[in-house]
Parts: sequence; C-alpha cells; structure tokens
Amino acid sequence: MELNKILNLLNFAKNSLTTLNSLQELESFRIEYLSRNGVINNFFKKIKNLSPEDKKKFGNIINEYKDFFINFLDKKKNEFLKNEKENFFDATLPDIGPQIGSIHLINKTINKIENFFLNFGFDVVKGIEVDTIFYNFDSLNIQQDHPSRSENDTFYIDENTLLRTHTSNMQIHVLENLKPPLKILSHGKVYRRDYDLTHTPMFHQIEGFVIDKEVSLANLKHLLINFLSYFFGNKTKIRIRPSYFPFTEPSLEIDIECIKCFGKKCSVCKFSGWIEILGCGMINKKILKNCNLKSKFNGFAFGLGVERITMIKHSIDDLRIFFDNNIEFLNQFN
Amino acid sequence: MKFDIELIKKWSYESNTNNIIKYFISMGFESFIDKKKIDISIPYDKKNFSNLFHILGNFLNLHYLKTFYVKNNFSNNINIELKCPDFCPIFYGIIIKNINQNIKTPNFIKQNLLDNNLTFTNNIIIDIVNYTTLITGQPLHAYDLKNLNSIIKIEKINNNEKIITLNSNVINLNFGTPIIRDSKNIISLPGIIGCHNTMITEKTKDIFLESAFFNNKIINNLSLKYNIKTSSSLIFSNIVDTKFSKFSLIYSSFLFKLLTGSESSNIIEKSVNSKIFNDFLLIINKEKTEKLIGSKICNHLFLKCFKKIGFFFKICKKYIKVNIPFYRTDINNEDSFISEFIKIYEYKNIPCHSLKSFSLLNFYEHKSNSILNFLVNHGFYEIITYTFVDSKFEKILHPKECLVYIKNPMSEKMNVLRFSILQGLLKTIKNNLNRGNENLAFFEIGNVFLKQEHVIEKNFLTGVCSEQFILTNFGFKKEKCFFFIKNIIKNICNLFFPKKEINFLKNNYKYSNKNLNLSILINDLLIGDFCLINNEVLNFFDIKQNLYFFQIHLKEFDSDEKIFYKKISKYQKIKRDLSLILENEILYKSIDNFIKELKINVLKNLFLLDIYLLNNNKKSLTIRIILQSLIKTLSDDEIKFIFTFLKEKIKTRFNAIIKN
Repeated sequence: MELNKILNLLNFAKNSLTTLNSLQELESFRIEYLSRNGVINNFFKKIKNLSPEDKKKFGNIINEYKDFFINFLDKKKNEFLKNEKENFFDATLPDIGPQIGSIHLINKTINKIENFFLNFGFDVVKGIEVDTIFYNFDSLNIQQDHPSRSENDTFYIDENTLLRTHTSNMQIHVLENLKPPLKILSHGKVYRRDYDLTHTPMFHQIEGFVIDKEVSLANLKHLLINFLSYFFGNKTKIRIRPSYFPFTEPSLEIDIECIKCFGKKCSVCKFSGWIEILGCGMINKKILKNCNLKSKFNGFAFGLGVERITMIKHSIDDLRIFFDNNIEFLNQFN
Repeated sequence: MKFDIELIKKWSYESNTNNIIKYFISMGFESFIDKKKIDISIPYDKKNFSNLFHILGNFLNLHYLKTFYVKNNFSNNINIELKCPDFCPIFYGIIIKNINQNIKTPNFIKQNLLDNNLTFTNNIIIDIVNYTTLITGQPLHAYDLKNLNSIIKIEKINNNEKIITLNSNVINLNFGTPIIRDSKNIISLPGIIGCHNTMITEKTKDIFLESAFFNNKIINNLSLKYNIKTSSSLIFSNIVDTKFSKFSLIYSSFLFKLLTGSESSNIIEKSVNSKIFNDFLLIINKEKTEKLIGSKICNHLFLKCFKKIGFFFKICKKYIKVNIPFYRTDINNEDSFISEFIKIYEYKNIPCHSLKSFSLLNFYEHKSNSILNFLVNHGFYEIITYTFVDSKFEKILHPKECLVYIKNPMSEKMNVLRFSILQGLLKTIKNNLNRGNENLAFFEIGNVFLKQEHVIEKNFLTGVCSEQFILTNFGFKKEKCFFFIKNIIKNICNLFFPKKEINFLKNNYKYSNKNLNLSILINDLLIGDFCLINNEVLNFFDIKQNLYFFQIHLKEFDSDEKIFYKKISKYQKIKRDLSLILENEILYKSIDNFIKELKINVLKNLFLLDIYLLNNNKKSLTIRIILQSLIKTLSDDEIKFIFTFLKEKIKTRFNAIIKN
C-alpha cells in the first residue's frame, strides 16, 4: 500500500470524526481505528520494512493522528455524557420476578424450638411413624385397658402395627441403641383418630428427654422455664401443676399466662387465666429398667404439641387451617 | 366431673372459689369454672377419685358431715352373715320405710347426675342412691324390702345356679361365684348387679340399702367372666375407701327423709378383720427425695409436708416409714409417693438448676434447610398434607404399587398411607385454584410408605408448580419450562448430594407426560423423577392447568469425599461457538458426552447456546466451547487445530453439517 494512501485514509478518518453523533458511533470508530487489530496498528505494521528515516517520519505522522483521534474521542465522549438527555423512566413500576415463598409455619415453629434445644446440647433424632404396639404403648407403661389403645382412638395397620400416637416411641428406640448420658430431641407427625375444630387426625409433636446420673426436677424446671421465656418472651408468667402421664412419675404440666387476656380470664383460656403448654416429668423407673439401664441413671422427659403452641403464639383459632395449605395463609408467614 | 360451685362450697372448708380451683389444680385435678359449676378433670391414675369427697381431699369439711344425723324410728331386724371375708369383709345396711315415690327428683340431684354422665331415671329411690354414690364414692344398692327375707348372706355358691338380673338377663353362675342371698334366693351378684326378684319398682315403698366393701380383684374377674359392666362394678374394680361407707347410708337416709318423708332404722354393721385393709408400707429416703427434687429440704419443712399428706408415718434414722392406705392404689412406690409429696411442697418452691452433663458432639446438619431456603427463594411455598389419602386416587397414580391400608380409617377418603406426596399436592393445587389463587408452586418434605415385608418409610422432597408460575415469574417460553424444573432438580441434588454424579434417564410413570419426563440417578441409583403431569391425571383431578412435578428421595449417602482446591488458570479463556445441523433424534447429552470423551485437556467448559428446529426433521444447535490452558496462552494455531479436530470428529460421529 502506498504511503500516500495511508495518509489519505487517516485524513478521511479525521474528517469523519465530526459526523459521529452518539456514544455507539464513537465506540465503533475507536474499534475500527484504535483497537489492537485496527487501522492505526496495521499501518505501524506496514511501515516496519521502510528505511529507518522513513519509518521515523511516517511513524511520527501516524502517532500524531492517533493522539488526535484519542483526544477527540475522549472529549466528544464527555460531551455526549454531559448532554445526554434523560429519557423519562418510571421507576415506581412494580418489580418483576417471583415473590419469595415460605416455609410452613409448623416447620418454622419446629425449627425455632429445635434451635433452642440444640444450643443446650441436644441431639435431634428422626422419628418412626409406623411402629408396633410394644414401642407405642407397652414399653411406655401404658396399661392394657387404657382408652388410648382402642380402635376409636388409634389408627391400626394390623393387630400389632399402628400409626404412632405420640413421639414417645422414639424414647425407647433411642434407649435401646444409645447409652447415657443422653440429651435427645425428637419431632414429627403423630396420629390420633379425632377430627374437629381443635383436633385433626394428624398433627405434630416435639419431645425431648435427658438421661444421666442424678438428673433432677430442678434441672427440668430450669430447662423448660428458659425455653418458655425464649419462645413466648421474657415476661411470660408460668405455672407448674401436678398431672398424670403413664410414662413419667412425678408428672407435671406447665401453663403460661393467657397471652390474650394476660390472666384476666377470657374464653381463650376458658376463664382460667392460664393456657396449658406442655407436659413433662421424671421418666418412670419401669421404663428405664425395661431398657436395661442401670439404676444409677435417671432422667426427665417433656413433650408439646406443635400446632397448639403455634396457634397460641399466632392467635390462630382453627387447627385445620394448617393442612388446608391455602396460599393466602402460607403467605402471611413468609 | 362437674359440680355446682355452691355444692362444693357446702362440703368444703373453703368458701373462696378461686382458692378451691387453686387447690384442685395443686392436687393434679385440672379445673376451671364453667358458668356456675366447676369442671374437674380426673387423671387416669386417680380413677377411684371420681366422687366429690375424694376430690375435696383435705378440703372436705368433716365437721359438716357430723351434722347429718338419722333418727332411728325402728330397729333393723335383718341379720347379716359374712361367709366369704376374703371377698366381703365389711357390710352396712339400713332399712328405709314409707318412701313416697310420687315425689319428682329435685333439680339439684338431676343436674348433678346428668353433668357427670350418670343415669337419671326420675325414680326418686334410684336417683338418691346414685347421687349419694357421686358425692361419697361408695356404691349403694337398694333392695325392695317386700321381697327380702330377714337374713342376708354373702357367700360363694356350691353349685351352678341361675339368676335373672335387674335388666331381665339370665346368667348362669358357676360354682364358687360370690353372691348375696336371703334365706331363699340369690338377690344380687354383689358389687355388679342386682336381681330381678328384689328390684325397685314404682310400687316400692320400703327398701333395704346396702353399703359394703367387695374385693376389687374379684369384682374385676367376675365382671370379665360374666361380661357385665355397671357403674358399681367400675367403682368397685378401682377399690373403694371404706371411710365413708357408713356415712353414705346416713346421708342417703337424710335425703330420703328430706325429700320423701320416709323413716329409717338404725344402721347394722357386720365386719371381719381382713388383710385387704392392710396399709402398704413404704420406705422414703429423704436424701433420695432431695436428689429427685434438686435441692435440700430442711427437716422441719419435710415433716410438715408429710403431715399434710395425712398418712401415718414413723421417722427412723435414715428414712421414714409411711403407711399408704389400702385404697391409694395410685401410690405404689417411692416415686409415686414423692409425687404426692411435691404437691404439698409445691412446684414453685423447686429451684432452677442447669444440667451439668453435656451431650456427645452435636453435628446435626441442616441439609434439609438448604433445600427449603433454595425453594422458598424461588417462590415455592412449603405445605403439609395428610399422610393418609384416598386409595382410589392413589391406585390411579401408582397402579402397580402395594399400598399400606389402615385397618380403621376415619373415612374411605383417608384409608391408605400415601405412596407418594403427589395426591396431596394435586389436591392442594385444586383447592387453591378453586379459591382463585394463581401462579402456584408448592413443595413438601415428608415420609411416604410402601408395603414390603414390613411397612417401609422413606423421606421424600416432592414439589409441584404450575406452568403459569414459571411463565409469569421467570419470563421463560413455554418450551423452556421443563428445563427450568430440570435446573431446580440439578441445584437441589447439588445441595443435598454434593459432589455426587447426577444423571437423568427417560421414564414412564403413570402420571407423567410421555416425552417430558426424566428419572434422577445419583451414582447410578434411582432417587427420584420429574415430569409434566399428563392430561389424563389432570382431568381426573379436574385441574385445567399444566403442572410440573418432581420428587427426590432424601437418602443419605456416605459423604467420604473431600473437596480439594483446583488451581485457577491465569491465562486467557478462548470462547468459540460451534453451530451444527443434525438429526432431531440425536440427544444433546450424547454430543456433550462425546466431546468430553475426546479428552481435550484444555477444554474448560461447554454449554448449549441456542437450539431450534428446522424442516426435514433436523435441528440446529450452537454450542459454546471454552478453552483455557493452565500453563500458557493458547496460540491461534493451537486453537485452530483443536477446532478442526473437534469439527471433524463431530461430523463423522453424528453425520452433522458444521455451519460457518
């Protein structure tokens, strides 16, 4: 290529600068002339084989053009940016994209409860939902004529197999397989043959137990009072009263002051001022003995209904709503 | 149990209702006020407390009992013979004459009987008898005096004999059965049911009222043997406290006089010594009690609580001997006694001490949580559906599977345990659509059940979303929706099964669309599937939207693989696009595998950029190939060589046309 032609091309390029009207056009010019494979670099390659004097002369000219182009482009770019008109843009339009879903409120409650006990060093154990009469009743000291064993109250698969009625079956499974000291939490679905405003045939329980040497009621009280303060708030008033469960002796129940009327008595708390929250007690020695634990070990256990505690906390009045899975309900707790 | 507040106040020391409730609760009887009554729950182990006197316990106003007094108008000429003292060691009786049966049972008796699910007959004699039992806990039996001779024997029969009961049933009694007879006939199966020959009728004016103790074990056996359960037999089976046996007759005769104007005889009593009434001796160790409670108790307080319990006790050096009354079957060991002790000591006085022990290292991993968060962030809602489902629908979805049937379901629509969570999800979608909710995406993590030798439980993550949900929220075209779900599956598998090889294979489930379906394999093990639900199933559930479904078995794999750092190249990446035209039936995966198997060591990555169908059963694919070396920048010649090699191989293998 003749050197004059190079200079003509550069002049042409210089003249065309004034016709560039947008940032995109400036960029196109830059790529064409100033990029690695652009016109300017190609010219430098072409003048490689000239004599040193010519190389110097033309090299200077090309560099001058190069510098001019760079400065011009920079200046023009700044001008364009400065003068760029703001197109009207309505930023208040609604966003695009999926709304966040939610974890089911029951599982949220379980997670919250789990977090507390995990901090106390509890291990979590998965539950078995279909179990035998032995694990669900016999090994837990529940008498043969106890009404809960009847087909009116419990779902049976066959004579020996049933859908568990509480999470306490896991106590026995764990005690058969693990040695003390133990701090275990188990949760999951349990089944009872009942269906009305306050009962569903399937619901969730959380159960925990501790087995060690010289475990006392004072330990149980400390753990559960702290738990209730954590779950319902520090100012929650608590009442402990004696009760009866076949698998604990002594047995107790813990109530909290009604969160609706604050103890002033209302229909929610059946005009007592208190709401029953959980049952607990020292594990009956017969159960520990049946699991071949030495007499130096004792323990306590506690359990609560997840739906119940969730309903109390969030003022939900119909248990069945948890299993309707209406998206309007699920959305309230995301 | 339910009693009028005023009735309770009358019988107790305490006049303040709140104090009464507090006392009941402290004794383990959950109670609350229901209008003008107190509703009291009796725990299962306190079945023999199902009467007012025992519930009141220490609150029972014994002075008030003394105000009931019966004037004897005539003497009681009936002889009692106790011939089987092991069965009946104590027997009381009273004669009441000139009962006016025209009197209607007053409301206070009627209401208390009905509130406590007891029979109200509107026969004043029977109602007074039942009411007295409700108050005192002592079952009474009334005989028509007209048909009774003057001797009453409690004995065991020597031959088989027949009786006709109050409700006209004929029962053949076996040799050795204890009975009550007068000089001629058997008049009752004691503690269980009376006989027809001495039953109370509308014409009865004079009665003999019996109050006795019968051995609870024998009553229980008789009840089972002859298959008769009455309110009396239930009370006697749980053992009766004889403390109020005599008073029950005094109180009932008082009511008869008050309400019917009757007259009473003296009370005759016959008793023999019996081991049945022996107290049960318990040794209580103070130190053990303190350990169980978790704090030291001063001797003074300890003894104060013992006294309040009301049992006879003797203090020895290191322990205390306690006499547990025979009727307190709920206290049969040291722990159950300590339960009673704590009721007096009060739970609020127990201190709070934290546990000293620590559990084993707790590495509970919240893998499930990472899946939950992932799905929630993509707009899915977690749901919980019932474990039991309709077998009719379940058979349609899983026709070849062996379902687990419930022996006693609540309804035919909930008669099997779910084989998968699909039915629950479809019903949830349907219910939400009916409520006008749209853009639905749900998931559930829960157990499913299958029948093999035993029932097996498996934990599954299952989800469903409408096509509309994907189109609206993610802006994909309809044909890309399936691959959106595939992306969800791949990410979940990477979260739950990290560093495991994930593969997909076509499947053919009853609920899946013929083309849009894949099984999921982890290390060649089938762990789940996903698909577009076919129209047949959608029609069956009356759902008029396309739905995508996935399920993954959350099986734990051994995580023995360690993750090591792979060096990152500092040299330039080269991106080149390869456009091919080839037969439509050639799967993308086969091209992907083929290129990787060429083992080009500078091949960093490849992915599909574009795909579209052409005429003549062909498709056009554009694949982006990324090359990068760890040791140098690749030269133009090297790059050219690799691509030429790649093109030739693909051309030959797939008979493809390479576009310029």
